[in-house]
Amino acid sequence: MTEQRFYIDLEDSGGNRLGSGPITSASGWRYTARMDRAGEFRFAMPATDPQAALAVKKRVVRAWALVGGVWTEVGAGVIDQIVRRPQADGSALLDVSGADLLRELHGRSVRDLKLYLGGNPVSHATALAAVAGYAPAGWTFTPDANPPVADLYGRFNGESVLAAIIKIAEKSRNHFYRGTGRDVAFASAFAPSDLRAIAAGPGDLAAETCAIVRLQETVESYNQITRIYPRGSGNGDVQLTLKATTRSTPAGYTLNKANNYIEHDAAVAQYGVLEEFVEWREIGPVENTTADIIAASNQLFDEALGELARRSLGVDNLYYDLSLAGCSVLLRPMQTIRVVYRDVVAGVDIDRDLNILEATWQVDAGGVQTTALTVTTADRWPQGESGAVADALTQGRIYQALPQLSANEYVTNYTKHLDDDNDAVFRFRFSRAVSALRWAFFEFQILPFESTVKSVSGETVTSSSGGGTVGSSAASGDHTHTVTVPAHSHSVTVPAHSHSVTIPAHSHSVTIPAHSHSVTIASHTHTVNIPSHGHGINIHNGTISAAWHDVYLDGGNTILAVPRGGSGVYQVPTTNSGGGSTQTTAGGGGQTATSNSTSETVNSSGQQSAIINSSGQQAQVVAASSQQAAAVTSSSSGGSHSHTVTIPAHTHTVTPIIHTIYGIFRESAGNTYGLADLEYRVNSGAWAALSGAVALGDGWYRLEITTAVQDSDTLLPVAASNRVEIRSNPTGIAVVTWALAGGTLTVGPLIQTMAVGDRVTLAGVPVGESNGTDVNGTYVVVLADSTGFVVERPGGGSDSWNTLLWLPPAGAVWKPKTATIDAQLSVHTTIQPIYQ
Amino acid sequence: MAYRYTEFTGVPLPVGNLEQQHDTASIESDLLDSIGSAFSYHGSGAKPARKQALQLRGVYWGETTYLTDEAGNTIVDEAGNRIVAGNARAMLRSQVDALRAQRGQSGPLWRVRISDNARQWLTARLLQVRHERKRADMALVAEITCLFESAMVAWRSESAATTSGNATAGAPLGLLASNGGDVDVHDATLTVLCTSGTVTSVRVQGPEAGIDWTWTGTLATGQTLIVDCGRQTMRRGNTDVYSGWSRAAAHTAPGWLPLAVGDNPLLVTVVGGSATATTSHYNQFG
Repeated sequence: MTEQRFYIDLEDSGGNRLGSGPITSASGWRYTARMDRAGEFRFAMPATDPQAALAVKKRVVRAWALVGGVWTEVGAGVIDQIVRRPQADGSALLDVSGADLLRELHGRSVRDLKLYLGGNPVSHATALAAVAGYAPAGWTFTPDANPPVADLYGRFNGESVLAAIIKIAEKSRNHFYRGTGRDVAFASAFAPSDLRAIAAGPGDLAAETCAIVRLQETVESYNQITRIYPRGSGNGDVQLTLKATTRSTPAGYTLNKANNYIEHDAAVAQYGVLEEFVEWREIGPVENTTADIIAASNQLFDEALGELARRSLGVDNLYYDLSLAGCSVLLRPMQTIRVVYRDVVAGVDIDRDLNILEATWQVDAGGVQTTALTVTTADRWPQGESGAVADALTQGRIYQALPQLSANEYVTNYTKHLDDDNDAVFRFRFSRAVSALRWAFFEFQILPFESTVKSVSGETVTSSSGGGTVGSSAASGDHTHTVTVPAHSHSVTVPAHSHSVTIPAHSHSVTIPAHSHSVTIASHTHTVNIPSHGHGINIHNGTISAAWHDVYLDGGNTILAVPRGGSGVYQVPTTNSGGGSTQTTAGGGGQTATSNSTSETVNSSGQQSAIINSSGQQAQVVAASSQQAAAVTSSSSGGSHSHTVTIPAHTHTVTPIIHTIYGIFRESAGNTYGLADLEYRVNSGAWAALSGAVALGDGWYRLEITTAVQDSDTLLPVAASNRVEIRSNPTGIAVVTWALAGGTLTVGPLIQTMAVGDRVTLAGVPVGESNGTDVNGTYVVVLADSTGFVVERPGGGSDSWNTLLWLPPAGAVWKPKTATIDAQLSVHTTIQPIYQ
Repeated sequence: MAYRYTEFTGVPLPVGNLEQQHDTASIESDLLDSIGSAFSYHGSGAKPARKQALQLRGVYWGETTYLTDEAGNTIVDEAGNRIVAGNARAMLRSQVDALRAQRGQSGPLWRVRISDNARQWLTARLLQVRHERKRADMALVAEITCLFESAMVAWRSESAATTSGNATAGAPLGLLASNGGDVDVHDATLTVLCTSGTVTSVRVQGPEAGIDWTWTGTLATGQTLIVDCGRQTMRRGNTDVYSGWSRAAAHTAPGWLPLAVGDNPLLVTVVGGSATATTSHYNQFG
């Protein structure tokens, strides 16, 4: 038993050592550590070793060696392959090999990890911390304190953790290597090893030197470029470019955002333009916000600049494969070593510090040594043909795995109506999936207004409630009222409200024409009380033909005597004596009063206030386009009189009854807007004449609205919600003449083809020129000739129009029209799906 | 000659007319090639041997033996002829066959230090038994050549040296392991027998040798942790317990418990219970 200076531990995935002890029978151990890549290990051991049974696939092996008095891990890895080699002598050896511990990171995925925060990039350290969350337990990532590219932006889609940190190193423009155990160290600078590799002579090597046993030099220069065209996510013409980048180039470089390239000035001057389109399909906006677009474009810029810097200056990248002897120092990637070697015959003359990309450690009978290195003047692995193919394959996978920007075009159709009062509004939205808006066309044609209602008529039933008694006192005479309400309609929406009405002091003048009254007295009786009196009766001074006489009083004081059964009347002469006056009373009769026709004026002085409160919203909608107050004609007959009417608080319930006839109504061409009558605006911008649209034929016009809805830098839509508005041009024909008479208004000149029944609109007529009357509005033409037209004031006109005798020829007049706009919005965008 | 091979796995080696090679284990070349030259890897440092080959040559005799009485007098028959008790040929054959049967076997190869007859051993494998018969042998002599190889580069004393002590929980137990040989010992054994309570860890320190490691696990009363530094195993009974081993940063010694020539002070600290700690090793000689 010799002293133990090397052994190999077998561990499970949890880091627990297995077996009764380490493997001490290995004939050797070879471990290769690589920069930015997983390394590999290999060892052989007897199959009869008691620990051999534990050396199975996916177990972790970790080799330890006593180096300089310190037990040092000289490599670790995951067993991927075990080869049994029966020997000629009957023994069997196991060749155990696999990738180094970084292999564990290949077995875990970062899934759909996104490296961004609110659309903005994250730091190098933050990105690593995010990836570390997906690594197996025990792994730590030590970030680069000063990464050349501080911010990272991007996303993954199923990459392994190892692939993710490789990508982070690429984008940060730094590198990583596996440290001790499960630690990955990131750095952007190569640390000096203070060691020299030399062509050793006889004698012992100095401590700071090692011997070069074999050397191979490779020059990489075939893929030099001086100008780079980076292309990110997407395909065809919808790829991410540098257009939105906010980066500026360092001295010596030129950025051309418009043409999407960066070039190295000195290299172009020396070698001319050597351009290449380089693709980074994994770089694209995670979301389609402005911040995302800029961040993605910046990331593309960083990648492109780094690539250009390497390849424009990397003409003389030299790579050396060295076999060393006597190198007891365990060199690692990301160190430098001074290589001194001269072979005049071979044309090799090196004396410079070179960067270590790969280091191989070997433990065997000779001890622990660094036995091989791959070193270079550059800071990256040589590209090579296979590397280019691998990159292309990787890009192909990325193209499949990651959402790519793609072109999208769609057309949205609209049909909108407009008139003088209502604009046609065409609303459209851009979704979050839009990463760039390439162009937007608004195409339209102007058609006569169409409606599915041919006519509408209505009536209302009104019931009142809640009122009180109406007190009416007639000063004199009976009479009747005839109220004529002209045809009209009401459209009233009465919300909850209250009224406060103040009636100023006023008077009423009521003239009642001469009239007569006819009085009818119903049948009735009179009770007559005759006071005690005596009658002197001269019974008969003639021949008495009958013994009995019926005696009557005629209408006066004459007593008549008629012989019973006989004939002849005899007046009985009477004399009054002793009697008094007789009083009568009439019952059941009436008195009749008559008066002459007179005129009376009833004055009402004092201010009356009536407050009418209405609570609750009326359910009824009462159509009221009452432009004229209802004219009330009251005729009375009979004597003159006066009324005092007090209207208490009350409510009305109006029930409209609408009669609609459906069909296709299509307005006449004359009442339809022409192109010159209309103007448009986009997203509340300035109104512009619609006549600026480009005619496409067949009545179609096109407006390109791209610039109004697109951010010129990021190409993103400026807003998610957009609108195109079209309205009538309010500028009409100047009014030349005015004339008001009675309830009509005569206006000149005649506009367009005017016919009775047409409507015209007046606007801009100064208010207050006479009596404060505002004649602006829309009216119905009642007469038209070659010089002008006449409109009727709604409701007739007995107000100040009658007194408005003169108006200046100011304002404008036009014939209100309508139109139906058939439109389609054609949008060409770049999209990428957003699933969250 | 300071040493003499005597026995292999209990089989006497041919010691007549012996020609034995008592070479030290060979050291492999230390020189490494470089372009245009070579250099010494270890420089001024020592390079240890890894294995050795052993060869001896000797003869077996087949002897005719006679019966003797208690006084050593030869017993004769009536005619005065000595009574023969053994057959020389059979005797020779049995010796040769016994050795040949060990071909390929691995076992202790013994040697005797002639100055004091101290026996020493190492584990070797008999690779070959060469037997070239000559006419002069007369079937009574067999000249045998034995080829051995061994992974042990040092010879062990006949018996192991042990150092033992009782350790109480938390209190370091000092042990002094003396290596009476002339080369370092790398295959010592440490045995920790829990005598009370439950031991939860065992720490072994050898400050002078750069030893500092700890085994963490449970040892119930009566259970024994056996640390075999030669085989590099740790077992509790038949259970592998290597997973409980951890090396402190201060451990700079090769192996687990190397014993340099001379006295080796050790500290054994148990936690959780009491235990008897015993180191055992064979003094070794080059």
